[in-house]
Amino acid sequence: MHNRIALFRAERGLSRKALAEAVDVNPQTIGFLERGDYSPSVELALRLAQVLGARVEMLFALDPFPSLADQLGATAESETP
Amino acid sequence: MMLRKTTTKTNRYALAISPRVARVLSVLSIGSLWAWFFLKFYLTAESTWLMRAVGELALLGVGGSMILFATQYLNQAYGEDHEIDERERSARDRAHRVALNYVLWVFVLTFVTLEVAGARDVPKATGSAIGFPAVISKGVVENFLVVLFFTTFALPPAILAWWDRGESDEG
Repeated sequence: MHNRIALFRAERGLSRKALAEAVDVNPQTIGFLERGDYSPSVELALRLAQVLGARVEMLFALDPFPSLADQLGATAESETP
Repeated sequence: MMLRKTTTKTNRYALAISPRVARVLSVLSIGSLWAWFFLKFYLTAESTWLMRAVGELALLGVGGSMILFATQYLNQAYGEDHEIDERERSARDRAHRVALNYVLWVFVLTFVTLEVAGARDVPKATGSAIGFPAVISKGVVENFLVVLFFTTFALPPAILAWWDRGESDEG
């Protein structure tokens, strides 16, 4: 399973410890989740999504997420007249 | 090594040691307990300084196990479900499965050793330093149980220490 927890966490300006406290897990568990070493339960995935203000499918996916740089490049190209 | 609160929900105090130190301690304690058992099994009581040295191996093993048991890995290895999070529960359960396999293998190897030794025409216990003693005394069984108890006790925290990547809580 792939995830964007680190991206959303950085975006929200949260430390691992702060996010861990918000979703009631050990701070090390956030590290395991971000590296993809642990796949969370549905309950924890929903709690993470709630705290990070995102939909679950924006945070987790079975296939790798497209590169953010590629996505931004594509958006910029489509906006260019 | 210092006493500090763990990051589990209970906030218990535990000895905070690095994963590397915990790994070394686990090998030392479990290794010295088994070394003590086998040396005591084979050595005669003629050499007092050697027997004392062997006895110190047991102290090292038991002491190391107790220290390991007082570390931050105790909370995870023997924590209740509500005291640890879901990833820690998963790791705890895997560590206990490994510990169970260890106990089962010790029993299997002990059984096979006794069967093999029993099938051979071995001399009766002579107290010689080499050779399988034909008589398993009450003391040998007691030593075996002490080793099995302390090593099994220390194994789940030891396994968790081996799996610990030692990363910071911050980030």
